[in-house]
Amino acid sequence: MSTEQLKSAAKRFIEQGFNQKNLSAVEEYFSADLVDHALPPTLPPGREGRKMFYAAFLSAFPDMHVHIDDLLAEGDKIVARWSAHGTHKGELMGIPPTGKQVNVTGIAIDRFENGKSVEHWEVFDQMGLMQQLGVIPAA
Amino acid sequence: MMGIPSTGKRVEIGSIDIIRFEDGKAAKHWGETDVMTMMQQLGVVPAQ
Repeated sequence: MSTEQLKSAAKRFIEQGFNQKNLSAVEEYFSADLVDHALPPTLPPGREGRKMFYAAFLSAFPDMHVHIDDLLAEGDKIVARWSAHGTHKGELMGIPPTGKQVNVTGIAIDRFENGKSVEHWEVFDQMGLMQQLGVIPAA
Repeated sequence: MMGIPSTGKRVEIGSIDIIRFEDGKAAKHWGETDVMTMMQQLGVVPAQ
């Protein structure tokens, strides 16, 4: 895949998966052999866990919207810097809905093979999210 | 650190940084650090 194709795939995934809430985008974007370096240890590894992770966030923040702030591609890797906002209307990892509006940022890296992501790294501001939900005191 | 007294604990965390260069020097920086995991490793925030 060219770097332009990588960027198109990432844009399509975020648009379909998060903004249109269609999680079949997960199977389109990630390989069944995905190695995911960013999943919490409580979830199954790989694509199944990645899909459960996204499903948990979409049910907790049903109006969630993700915006791509920057998209960089080189070789077989794509880097997406994103920001998301949404309202906490459903239970999230044991946290009952707070009704709070949150803004979160993150950076994700994917490595592609044969048209799909086979390796995923991501760091997002989980601490900031928990502070905005009032679960952890702000620094 | 950030008001947390020293714990003597060893921590290991991940981070991703993007740096934009202008005229040969870093002019902009964006970074995400897994502060949550660090706080869990320090025992300040309960693990999931």
